[in-house]
Amino acid sequence: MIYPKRRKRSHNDNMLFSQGALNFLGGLPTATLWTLSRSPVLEWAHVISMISGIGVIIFVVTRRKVLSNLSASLIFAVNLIPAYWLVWTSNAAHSTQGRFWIPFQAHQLACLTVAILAPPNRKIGALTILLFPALAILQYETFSPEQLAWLPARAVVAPILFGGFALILYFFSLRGIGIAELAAKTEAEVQMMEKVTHAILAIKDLANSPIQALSLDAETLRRKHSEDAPVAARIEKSVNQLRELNRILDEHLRGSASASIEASFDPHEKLLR
Amino acid sequence: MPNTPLKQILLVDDDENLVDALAEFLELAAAVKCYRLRSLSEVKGIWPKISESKPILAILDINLGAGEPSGVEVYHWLNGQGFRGQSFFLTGHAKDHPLVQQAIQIEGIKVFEKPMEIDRIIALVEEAAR
Repeated sequence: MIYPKRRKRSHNDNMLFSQGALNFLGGLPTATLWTLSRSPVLEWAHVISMISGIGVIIFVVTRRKVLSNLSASLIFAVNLIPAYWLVWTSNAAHSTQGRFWIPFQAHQLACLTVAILAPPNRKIGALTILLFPALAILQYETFSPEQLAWLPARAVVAPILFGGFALILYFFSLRGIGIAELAAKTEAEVQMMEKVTHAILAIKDLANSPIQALSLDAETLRRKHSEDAPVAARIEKSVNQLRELNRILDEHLRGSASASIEASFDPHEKLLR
Repeated sequence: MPNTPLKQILLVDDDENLVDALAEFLELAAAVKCYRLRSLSEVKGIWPKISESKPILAILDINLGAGEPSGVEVYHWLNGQGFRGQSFFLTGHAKDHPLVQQAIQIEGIKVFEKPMEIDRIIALVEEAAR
């Protein structure tokens, strides 16, 4: 069997699985406190975050087909909506409490998290990162003078800086992922070449004795029964075609990894496996 | 005309068709007597009967099948029994196969890849017969 039966986990799988886990775990403390009646309010954003997290995990675990980069990035972006909602509502809640607080911390951590998870589509990835500082600026603009009075000066500078840093981190992450994927692809190609080489060696191994026997039989026939010389010539011609096939297979083997691979094998086993 | 005994050749290959084809051809083309053998145990079985007549050549397949001693082991066994004829190996395996490597390392022994040219086989038999 040349292709593995089970699909290997790709970066897209890992990214969506991690995002699902973060969404679920992010909503878990609030939901637990609410269940234990320690918190009077359960934000819908938390509930949706947990549901979408579980949904994405189930999707990744049960799916068999390979997800395209665009699809994975779109799912990632949709699954971020509860996170945008959560950072907005949590900042809105803090801003009305009438005391000093560090604004937009969640935005900063969130855009770094997106950069680390690295959705493969660059445009979607950059957009999902920049939406966090953009939301911070937008929300800052909506604050009343009373709310602004409790904020430190230039409160939106930090999320903007974090957004910029996250973008740089994101593009480096993508580059690293690209190199890793190229290495994995190259390794898979080498393994495939080794399998093809083994198959060619096995075919040659199985074919060589019959070719030799046919060649000898044709010569025997020619010498024993001169009237059958045309038959012998036909057999010899066919044998020569098989020899030519052998030569072509040798050409394919030349320069291949045949010398470096484990050379002792059972040809039947190699071909039937 | 004196009845000269035919020169004898040992053919050892696990492929029965090939052994028969090679034997029939050599008996016809080179006027020799061929012993068709498929394994070391068959060689051991027939050796007491033929050792006196001093076979001139052993054509040995290298891989004699799963679980069987190889042609290289047959070669060493024959040498141990005082066989003084020529030997060469035939193989369908790749040159980097460990058994083929073992055969190549034996000094003075030629290893040929199947399928071999007919004229080359006859030339080797005639050389051994001289």
